[in-house]
Amino acid sequence: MAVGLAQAMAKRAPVAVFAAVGRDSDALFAQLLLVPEVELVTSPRQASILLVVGNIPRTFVEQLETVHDQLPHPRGTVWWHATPLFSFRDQALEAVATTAQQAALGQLLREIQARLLSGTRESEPDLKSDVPPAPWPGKGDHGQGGEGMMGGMPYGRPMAMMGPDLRDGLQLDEWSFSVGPFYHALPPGLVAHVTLQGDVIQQWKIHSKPYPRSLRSVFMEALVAPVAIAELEAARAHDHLLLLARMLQLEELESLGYRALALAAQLISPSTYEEAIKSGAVLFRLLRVNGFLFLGGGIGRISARQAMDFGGFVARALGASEDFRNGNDAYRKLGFAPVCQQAGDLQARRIQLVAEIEQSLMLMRKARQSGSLFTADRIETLYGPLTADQMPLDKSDLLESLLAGHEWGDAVAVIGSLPIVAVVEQKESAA
Amino acid sequence: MIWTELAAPLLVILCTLLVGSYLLEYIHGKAGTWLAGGGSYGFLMVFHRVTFKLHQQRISTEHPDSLNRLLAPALLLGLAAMGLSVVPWSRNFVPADIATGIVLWGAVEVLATVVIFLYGWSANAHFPLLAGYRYVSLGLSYMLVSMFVLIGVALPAESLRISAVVESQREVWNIIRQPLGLPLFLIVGLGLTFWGPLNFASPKELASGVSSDTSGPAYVMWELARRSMLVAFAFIAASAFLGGWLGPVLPGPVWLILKTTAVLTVLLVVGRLLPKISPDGFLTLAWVILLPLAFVDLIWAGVLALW
Repeated sequence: MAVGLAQAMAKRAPVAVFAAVGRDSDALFAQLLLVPEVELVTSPRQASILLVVGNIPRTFVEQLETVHDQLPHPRGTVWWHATPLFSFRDQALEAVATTAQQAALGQLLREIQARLLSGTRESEPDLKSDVPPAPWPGKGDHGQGGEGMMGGMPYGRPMAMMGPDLRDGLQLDEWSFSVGPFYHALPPGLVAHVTLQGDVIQQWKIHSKPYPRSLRSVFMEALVAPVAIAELEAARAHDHLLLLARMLQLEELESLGYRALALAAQLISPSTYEEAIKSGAVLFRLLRVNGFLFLGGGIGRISARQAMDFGGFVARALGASEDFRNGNDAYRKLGFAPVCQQAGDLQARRIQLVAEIEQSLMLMRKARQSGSLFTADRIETLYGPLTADQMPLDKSDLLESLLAGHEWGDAVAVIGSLPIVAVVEQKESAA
Repeated sequence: MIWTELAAPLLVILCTLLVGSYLLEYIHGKAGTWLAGGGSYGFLMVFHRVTFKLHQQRISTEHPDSLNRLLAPALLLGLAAMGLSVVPWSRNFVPADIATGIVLWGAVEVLATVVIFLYGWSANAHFPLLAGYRYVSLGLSYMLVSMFVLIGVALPAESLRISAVVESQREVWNIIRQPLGLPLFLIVGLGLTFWGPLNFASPKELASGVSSDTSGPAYVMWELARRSMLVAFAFIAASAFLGGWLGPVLPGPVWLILKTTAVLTVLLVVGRLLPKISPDGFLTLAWVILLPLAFVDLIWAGVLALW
């Protein structure tokens, strides 16, 4: 009876999910964070369900299998708008979800977790064999000896060798490892080989670029025909809010990140624009009092050349006042004026991002009343300028020079503040 | 004598840590849904989450230091119990009314640093090790502040005994007499239990840091120990700055629980509202601003004591 009661209690817990995000799945992932039954965890060790969101390239099958095997038993995998990359002998274990409804997804995940807890669904077996990647036999009769003293590969991993610290030249042990493509704090698909001394990055080398993304169709439509400014600015604010939500989550501000995501969700349909404006006012008031906009000074400062490569709010955070909406009559009548910061660091980008979201919401509200339309051959997006001939390019190579010397947490915050992914047409991103 | 001197105090401490941890988690969840403007967090949610975790497999990493990995949560819980034992519940009931209660709490803080580091180190994995080292590197920054602030509250009491510190607040609480003390001490509490803006040992960017390779019952134990330490800290803060069990009409223990709950609520709301500070930023903040303020607080306490 006690076991039954404990199981009944456990089944009512939020579903612990580790999300492996695939190609062009930002919108899906943002929805996932708003599902009340789901608790997104940062480590696969604390999850019971591996949720694959969007298609994962086959080149990352091995990494996905490694993440899968890290989940504790009882565990399951759900493929959400994704093609399964591995399967089990028991075909009943395969779970593919194509629903776009949050409630349906939450219900499915809760049902799977409940069946795992009660034992009616088998826990998925390991996909890889549980042996050391390279056993350390040594040279001696008892496994001792070999190269492990000042170098070599004990347990298949290179010994930490000393190297000069970037900051003061002290010789300290360096640790090299690979992070990604499913690391929650990095853009999905990004794989980097990192060398740390302590928690300071000595080297950051991009091994695989993050997945490109597609923009909402209103941006492409604005290049060829007049579109409602309200819809365009709502789409801009939506994209900026997803980036802001990500930044807030990384700063341990889950509640405010949830508010930002809920606000972004209200900007998808015109029927909820008015609620979005009220929700936005509360969010921005909280951000102004809690110190989020005061931190990050001097961290992740980019050069003028790098800022021009980014364009968008990143360039304006360094004082480049170019904004393709400037000079347009329709925007001028709505009271648009470019907003800029000067420092070009993490703090400036945060302030600029919040200011541009507020500006977009203001323009959206006024444009709804006036019915203003806009078209141009260059459109402002989160990722930089969009033209008919050129989509914003991937900028992850900039991280190699930018992150050296930064502490790990600062580096992750800097990456979170930069829209480094490339933009592609929607059909390309699904490939 | 066995009942009054041993069993009853042990029972009170254990119940306090368990119930306090539940209350802490409930307030933490409610604060989250309030700030998020949506969601719900019922009274039983804590039990749902705990029972779920108890059903999960306890993961073991490759070649961990098993002894320290197993012992660290128990040691942290034991340290929380030790820290709570010097808190007086009334004039007549103090589980361990030692003459150097403030020094004991200082020792608890230092040993907690060792235990938390050992927990990260013993996993033999990347992120727990990084998080453990980072926590240790910043530990001294807030521990010094803690010591100066606590010496400040010992001065009017002319004693290091926590019960004497509480008695010295009969006329006026230390939060009024030494206004810098409690805000500085609350920052210490956040750092000690790596909570909210000072979460250096279990942050998101390190995939939960020292707990990133923990699952199942071991995870429950560690999180219980961490919350117990915060509960014990809140009791110390309520005793040192808010007059402890002193108060009219209601029984002493009730006043102590109310004041501790108020301290916990402030800590948890602040923990939800404030962004994480970077380690370098906190180092500068602690040594350039907080430590001088702690000196000012101590000098002010000394002047008042001599006056």
